[in-house]
Amino acid sequence: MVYTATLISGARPLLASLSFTLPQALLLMAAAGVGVWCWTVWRRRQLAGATDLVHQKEVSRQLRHRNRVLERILAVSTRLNTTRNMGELRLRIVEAARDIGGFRHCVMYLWSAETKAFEARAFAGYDELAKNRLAEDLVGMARYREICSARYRYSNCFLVTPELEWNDPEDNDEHRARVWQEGQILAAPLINSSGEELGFLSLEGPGDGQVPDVVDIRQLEFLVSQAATAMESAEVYERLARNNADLQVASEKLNSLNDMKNNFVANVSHELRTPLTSISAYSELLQQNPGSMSDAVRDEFLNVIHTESQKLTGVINDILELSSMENGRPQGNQSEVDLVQLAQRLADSWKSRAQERNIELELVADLDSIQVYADGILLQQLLGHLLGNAFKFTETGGRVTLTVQETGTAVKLVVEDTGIGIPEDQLVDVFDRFYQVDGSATRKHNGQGVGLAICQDIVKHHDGRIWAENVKPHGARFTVLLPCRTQVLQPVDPTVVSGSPFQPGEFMQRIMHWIGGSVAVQTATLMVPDADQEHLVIRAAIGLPETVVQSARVRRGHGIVGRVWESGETLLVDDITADDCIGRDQNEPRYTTRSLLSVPLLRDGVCHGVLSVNNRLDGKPLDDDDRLLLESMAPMLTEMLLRYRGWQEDSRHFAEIRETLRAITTVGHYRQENIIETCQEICLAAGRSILLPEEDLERLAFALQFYDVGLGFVPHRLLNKPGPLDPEERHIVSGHVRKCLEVLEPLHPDSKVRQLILHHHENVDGSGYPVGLAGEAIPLGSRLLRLTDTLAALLCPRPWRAAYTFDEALNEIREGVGSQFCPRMTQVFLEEAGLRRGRIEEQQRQGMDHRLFKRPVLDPLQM
Amino acid sequence: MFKILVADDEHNIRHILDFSLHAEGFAAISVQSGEDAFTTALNEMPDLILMDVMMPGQGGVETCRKLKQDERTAHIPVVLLTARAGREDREEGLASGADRYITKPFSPQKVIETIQDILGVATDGA
Repeated sequence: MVYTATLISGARPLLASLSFTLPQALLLMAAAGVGVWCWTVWRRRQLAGATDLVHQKEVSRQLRHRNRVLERILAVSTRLNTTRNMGELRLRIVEAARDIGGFRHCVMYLWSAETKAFEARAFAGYDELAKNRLAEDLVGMARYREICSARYRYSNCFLVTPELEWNDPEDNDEHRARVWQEGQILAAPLINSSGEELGFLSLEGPGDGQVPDVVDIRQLEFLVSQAATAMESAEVYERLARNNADLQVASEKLNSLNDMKNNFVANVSHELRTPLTSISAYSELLQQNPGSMSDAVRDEFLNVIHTESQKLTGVINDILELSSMENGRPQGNQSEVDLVQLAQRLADSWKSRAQERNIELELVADLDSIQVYADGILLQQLLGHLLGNAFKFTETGGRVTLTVQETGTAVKLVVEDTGIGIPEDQLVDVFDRFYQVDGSATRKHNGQGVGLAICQDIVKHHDGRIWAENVKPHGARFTVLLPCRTQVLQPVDPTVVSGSPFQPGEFMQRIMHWIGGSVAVQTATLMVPDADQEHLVIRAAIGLPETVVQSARVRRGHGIVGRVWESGETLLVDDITADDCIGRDQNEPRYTTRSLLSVPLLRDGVCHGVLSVNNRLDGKPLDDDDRLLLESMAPMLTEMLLRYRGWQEDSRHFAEIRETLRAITTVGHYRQENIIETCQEICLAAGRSILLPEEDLERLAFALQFYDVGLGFVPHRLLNKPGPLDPEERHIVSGHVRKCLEVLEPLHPDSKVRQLILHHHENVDGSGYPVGLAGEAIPLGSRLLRLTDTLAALLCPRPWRAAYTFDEALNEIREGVGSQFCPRMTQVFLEEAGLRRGRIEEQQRQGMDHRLFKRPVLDPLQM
Repeated sequence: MFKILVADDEHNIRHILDFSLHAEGFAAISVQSGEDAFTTALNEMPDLILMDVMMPGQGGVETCRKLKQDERTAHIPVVLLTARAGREDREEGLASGADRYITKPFSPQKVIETIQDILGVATDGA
């Protein structure tokens, strides 16, 4: 352009120098005409050239800008690959996307397999309150599909506009070019190299108020694809690191196990060889000197041989005991055992040994008799090992004390000595199978180190707890806690409720077995309304002949069961034979007792069935305890019954219900239900006072009921461990959260409920599990659950510690503000708790008096 | 008469060794620990030491090493007795300077023969 303009302007002096003739004038005029034309063209061209120039400058500015942006993207992508920390990487990505896209806000949503939704995990440009809102706002798969639908497609991103104004397809591009609208978001999917949708970035509020043009979008997309790759590699790295750590733990464990095993073999060899040496040496001498030996010497030798043989037998028995530990112990040998009597017997048998070694043996029992339901032989073995151990490590002139005590929630056995004690760092290891305090070549004391392992196994078999500690000035103390439970609370026998493929109809039968086992009765019957709603028929039963099961029909309002159905109230009758509604021969030998307990299965005022039990296994009449137990089971059964109707054909659910059942039974051990209910009430009240929407409150209520069912899968020793957990134990314990979600699967909790439960062990400082969310990223409800769980745990007694008083518990929680607990939630929560102080204190008093913890779920308010 | 020092924490083993040694005409002194073995060796200067490896406190191997390092006792032959029969155990025992290594259970007769062999006395007794 410029070149052409110069050429024309160069022609002007040439025209001016010519002389005039007519033709010349004509020519000139013509030339002038040409000149004017040329000038006009030139002028026009020049004007156009200026516009072009402006345009060109603009283009070049834009190019330079884009170049800068591209350079930045390059720099950012390079930087993205330098971090292996997932949290940091996410933050870098959202910040880079926000800056490069020219937006004010960016949030990253990532798919969570647990909540089955996209969760907001990283934020740029939001204040705390907004982060909070976003963290609560889950994007389900349906919503995601809607976001990523074709109508919103904009390059490879999606421009989501709340109200659809461009129904006219012709208007599309035009419209999109216009200003950014309120509520619009730009979603950029994060897709990894294998095409997997990890989540998406959601961008809001462009700085210039305009919808970014396609070139800007392309740049953003480039960054996002880099980001997805970086996240993928960071994840692989994280997984590798985790696997590596797991392997490390496993390998260390294997190594130490191997060391222990070697040590064990050496020790066992020593234990076997020592008595064997005496036996063989003494017998050899007896053989070699038949004549020259006096009777006294020969008797002495024979005596040594005899005692040493017994010692040898003992060692061999211990080794056999080990193998029975490996294979699990039989359940059936439990009965009522008087621990005081047992302890007395043992103390008597150790008396002579105590005198021999000048050790004082003392038995302390604050009651004349303490009954537990346990395997007496195992308990005797347990005390024998503990006493033997105490004697072994106590020097002459020392003292061994055996204490038997009832604590209200448990029976406590303590064996204390004045011996050498246990190195502090080995207090836990002593229970390891192949362990012995000074195990190597130099040993002060005999024993192959399996005694305490056997003790622990026996205690575990009884769902109890054992631990060791040192006492001042010197000595060791072993404490055993056995839950003081009656035979009512039998753990579910896995052989009864597991295994074989699901048979429709069999499920309820198995439930009946479970109930029969729990209440310890021979006969249990579940009757449900017939199709006509006028009769009850037997849906499942144990302990009844098949003919009765098939034929029994009870009319509403008739007989015991019919009356329970009609009135919705429990009946406990003394004489079953007075009921003539189920055809039976009254002299049939299967009736060991005549009392019958019949409980309605109610839901929303409707009775869906009646559960009856009779024939208590111990031959005693059914009592109020049985009634409470059965009533406490009733809501769960009703739930099962109602759900069962829908599930009959779906065998998959069976296993899940079974797991739920098992989880619930195991969790029940040390809960004081009324206190827990009060804590749940506090939680909901706190939720209300922070104005959670009604549906979120409902979710919270659901989560409160079930959030800890996964605990049933955590070994007791870890749940009850007083000290901090090691990484491996922590891994196991944190697994319960995910386990809980698996267990609850049949109840179809929605994503938000899953989220509530999943994050209820997160700490505000990010040190919690399972994800390690921090601060506002933790859902409000989860933060409340965390507080509720803690408060309930503190207020209930544990076998090894008393319950915290109300004030102690609150102080404990205040200690954790800022690290474990969210300050804002804690304030609201503690305010609500304060309003219920009186009730909690009353409940704690009741709990102490009535020993409510024997049974899984008992509520004194319903008594 | 040769003087033999017996160190073992098991009463029965000490007894049987005492018995056998006396029967073969040896004088025997017995102690229960490694520490006692060392001090007694210094005081009594026995002709040979029979010592258990696994003893309370200072074990046989450690005591043997000390005895062999001390110039006053280095010349005294040491026979280790042990219920640990692993190869490493034997090597460790011999590395400490012990002259012989006998595993339990042992024959008293064999122990006597070993002692006689080391001391170079006739098998018919001294």
